[in-house]
This record gives sequence, structure tokens and C-alpha cells, in this order.
Amino acid sequence: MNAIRVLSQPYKTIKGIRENPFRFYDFILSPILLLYSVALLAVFLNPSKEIFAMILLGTIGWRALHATQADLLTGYLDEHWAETKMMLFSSPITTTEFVAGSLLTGLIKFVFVFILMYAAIALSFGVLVPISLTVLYSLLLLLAYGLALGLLSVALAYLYGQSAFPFAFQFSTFFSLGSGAYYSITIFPQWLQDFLMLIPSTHAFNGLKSVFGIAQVNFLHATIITLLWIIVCWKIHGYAYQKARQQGKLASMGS
Amino acid sequence: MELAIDAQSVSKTFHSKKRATKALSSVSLAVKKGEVFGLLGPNGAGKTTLINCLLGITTLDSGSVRVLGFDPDKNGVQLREKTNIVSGFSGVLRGLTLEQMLYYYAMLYDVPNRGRRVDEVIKLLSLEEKRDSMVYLFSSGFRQRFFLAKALLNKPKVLFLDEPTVGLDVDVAIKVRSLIKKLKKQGYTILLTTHYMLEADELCDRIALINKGRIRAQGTPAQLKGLIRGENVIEVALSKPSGAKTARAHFKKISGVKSVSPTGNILRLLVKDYSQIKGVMKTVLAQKLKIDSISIVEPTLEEVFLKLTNDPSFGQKTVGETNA
Repeated sequence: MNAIRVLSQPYKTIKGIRENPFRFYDFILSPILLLYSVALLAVFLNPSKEIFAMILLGTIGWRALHATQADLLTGYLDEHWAETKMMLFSSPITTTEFVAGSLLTGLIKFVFVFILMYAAIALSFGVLVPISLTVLYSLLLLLAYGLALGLLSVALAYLYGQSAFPFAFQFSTFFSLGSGAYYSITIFPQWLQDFLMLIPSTHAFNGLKSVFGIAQVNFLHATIITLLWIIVCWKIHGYAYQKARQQGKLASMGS
Repeated sequence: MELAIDAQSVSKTFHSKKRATKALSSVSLAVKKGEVFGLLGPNGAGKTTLINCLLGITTLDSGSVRVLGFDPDKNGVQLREKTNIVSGFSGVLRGLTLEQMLYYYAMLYDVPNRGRRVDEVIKLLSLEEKRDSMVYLFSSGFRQRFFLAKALLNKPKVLFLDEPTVGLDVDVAIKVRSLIKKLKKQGYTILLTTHYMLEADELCDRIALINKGRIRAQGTPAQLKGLIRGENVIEVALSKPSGAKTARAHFKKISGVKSVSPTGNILRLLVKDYSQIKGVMKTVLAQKLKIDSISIVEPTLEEVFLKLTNDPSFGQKTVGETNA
């Protein structure tokens, strides 16, 4: 793996931010809107201090999942929308380097988003979100699961182009909601709870909730399931890339 | 001579739900190092698909490809490190200035001393005034110069120019062609695709005519024109029509001149071969004939192409040396 080629992706995104409103929205406005819409509802419902903090931490977790997933997808979409895929894929960058670069972009942006949300929570609601190893590892799992979902999103984009985008962008929202970002999954019937335990984000959000004694987490299980998802999604991504090469879609413009 | 590109029996069909489109059908070509090789054909002929196959962006259904000795499937990274492309159909990323954009592509190619190389290509393409301007706001001429600058960043051994003048104003297209000539002088191996016959004639050492995914003929421009040359014609334009009768009589005496037919002040000499032009000139001087011009009437590549694509009996033609 070539480090310079990996770094080309964060370079492209960071240098382009000032002229790209979508990118600006994605890592400043969007997380703040999410935070306040959820937090203000919670304030209205007047929950306990622990529940309130758990909800706020859930919004940060959601953004962790979103950061890596969305940046993998937008790293590809920037090239697709600009009709520069031909120039990207005719360069020596490998898919591994491209994914690693996009992942790095997502991680950099998440650090910024984390600080922004942490400060906003502290200043607006007087709550200091706990930063423990449990919290950090749970966030790391969410970022890793975001990578898996990102690989899946890009695979869809390779194969279905423009028509896959609306669906691919909703992956992180779907899985965040489904795996209990702000609530305990015990509200669901047992069969659904069992099914949700196959999704890494359920374990990671349980990790965040465990800080407040609301849920329990087995990090070994969580790690194994996350790794399995990454492996499977990586395989799907590789298959989709080869299929797109075969169908001539890597070089096609805007379709 | 060593080959830069060697494609053998390359076939590619794209399948959609409704139909299968045969983009390339048993295409073979060999491009020597340091040569400008033209791939000439109308839109949809398969030119871009062939480039995509050569670069490994699209897979082959059958056949084999080597670029600088590398198989695009197995050694795609090494191959792409040593090649680059200008595509007339490409867009540009939004939000980056010229300098940033070139730096980005220099990173993709892991160009050593990136900052200095970016400065060099900016200077080479006379883009200094645009250094801090957004590339997506460039006019088509500046945009094409940016593409060329980007393509030269890694000093490629093989340069793919895919319709580099498509959609450009005439003056810009002339500038781009002049740049390509400079690159040719510097020894770049270039595969140029174009549907402009005159461009191919002007720039290429050898040309392959491609249509509907098939190479119909390949050779030097002169060899290709020779494919449809049924007769060799020299035209002499006399200053006055009144001298036609005398001039005709003199020209008929030249060895190798088969016939002379007048049309107004133009005499059309059917000759054995073009070396007879020396005799024609000698006669003009000796007889003190007053003329405006003497010219060789050659078929154009356009005529060759039309003949090849419209006449099924013509088959596939290879003229001259193809596999060095």
C-alpha cells in the first residue's frame, strides 16, 4: 500500500471543502442539526440525567457510524459526479488505497465532529459526555462498522451508479435506528432482538449505553461480528468492482 | 523495435438487459516505442473501449494485451504508474485550484518532488496565470491544457490521448495539436484516438482505421491512402486556358505519362507514378509554360475510410510493417 496515494483522498476532500457546500454541510451543519433535534425532544420529555446523557452520546455514536460510511461513498461519488472516474481509475491507485484514503478522511472528519458535538453538548446542556475506554472502543466499533457499510454502499454505486445513491446514503441511518442508538432494544420482541445482535452497531450502542448501566456489552463478540461484517463487505466490494470493470462502468460518465 | 503496446485479438461485448453490444471484435495492434499511433474512427467505433482495456479499467472477454510488457489484469498498478491519459470526455473535480488539482494527481501517481513537478508542468503548458484559479471554471482551451499538464506529471512512457481536441474551438485545437507535435519530438509514445481524419493525418506515424469494433486497415497515412489509389494524378494549373493545347502536347511526350486531359486551364495528367512530377517540372521550365501550380492529387484519409467502411468486399487490410 502506497501512503501517498492513500493521503491523496483526504487531500482532495479537505482542499475542496471550501468550495463544496455538501462537504461543509456534512461535517458541521448536519451533526449539529441531528444533535439539537434529538436533544431538544429529550429536554421536552424530561428524562433522567443518565438517560439524557445516553441519548446525547447516541447522537455522537450515530455520527461515528455515518462518518466512515458516508466518506467512503462520497469519496467515490465526488469522482462520479465530476465525471472524473476515468482519470481516477487510470491512475495507479488501488481499491485498497482508495478505501483506506476515504476511511482516513472519514476519521479526520469524525474527530472534528466529535469535538464539535462534545463542546455543543457541554455548552448547551451542561452535560459532560464521559470519555472512557468503553466509550472510545464503542465509537471505534461504530467507525469500523461504518467502514463495512461504506464498502457495501460503494459496491452498490459501482454496480448501479446514480440509482443506488439515495438508498446507499441511508445505510447508516437505517442501522443506527435499528440497533438502538437512543433506546434499549429490549423494547423489541425477542426474535428481533436476537436478529439485531447480528448487527455490530447494536453491540457498539450497547457499549455506549453500558456506561450508564442501561445495557451490557461483550466486546469480544462485538469485535468478532464487526470483523466478520468487514470481511464479507470487502468481498462484496471486490466482486462489485470486478463486475463494474467487466461491464465498463468504471469508465462510464455519470451513469 | 520494442513494442510499447501489443494487443492481440481483443474482443469485448457489453451486455444490457435488452441487448448485447459488440464493442471490440478481434482487434490487434502493435505500437512501437516513440511512435504516434492513431486510432481513427467515428463515435462509437470502439476507440475508447480499447483504451480502457489497455489500461485495465475494463476487462477483456478474450485476447491479450501488453502495455510496456505489463498485463493490465496482473500488473495494473505498474502499468498505470508508467502511463497517463487525456480524455476529451472527462470532467474535472470541483473545488480545487489548478495547483491543488495537479498536486492531487501528482499524489495519485506518487510523483517524486511533487511541488517542483507541478511547477514544471504549469510552466510547460503556459498555465501560470491560472495557478490559483478553480479548474472547473476554466474555458475549454485551458481545461484541455490542464488535462495535458496532468497527463505529463508522471513523465509517462505511454500517453493515451482520447479525443484530445473534441469540442474545442479551431484555434484551441490547433494549439493542442502543436503540443502533441512537441511531445512527439520529445520521444513520447502516444496512442491518439480521434474521429478527425485531418488530425490523424497530421500527427500520426501510423494509423488504424476502426469501425464498429473492427480494425479495417492499418498502416502509415500514405500506405492507407495507397489502398484506394487506383490512379496517380498530377494536376497542372495553367495561367491562361489558351496555352492548354500546346502544353498538353508537351506533357504527352514525357515518359510515364499515360494521358493528359484538359478541363479549362487545368491539365490532368495520369502518370505511372509520382516520380513523373520531375519530368513535368522540367517540361514546364524548358518550354517556358506559364503556370499557377503543379500538384499531386492524393486521396484523403476520409476517402479511404469511406471506401473501407462502405465496401464489404474490401475486407481487413494491413499495409506496411505492423509488428515491429
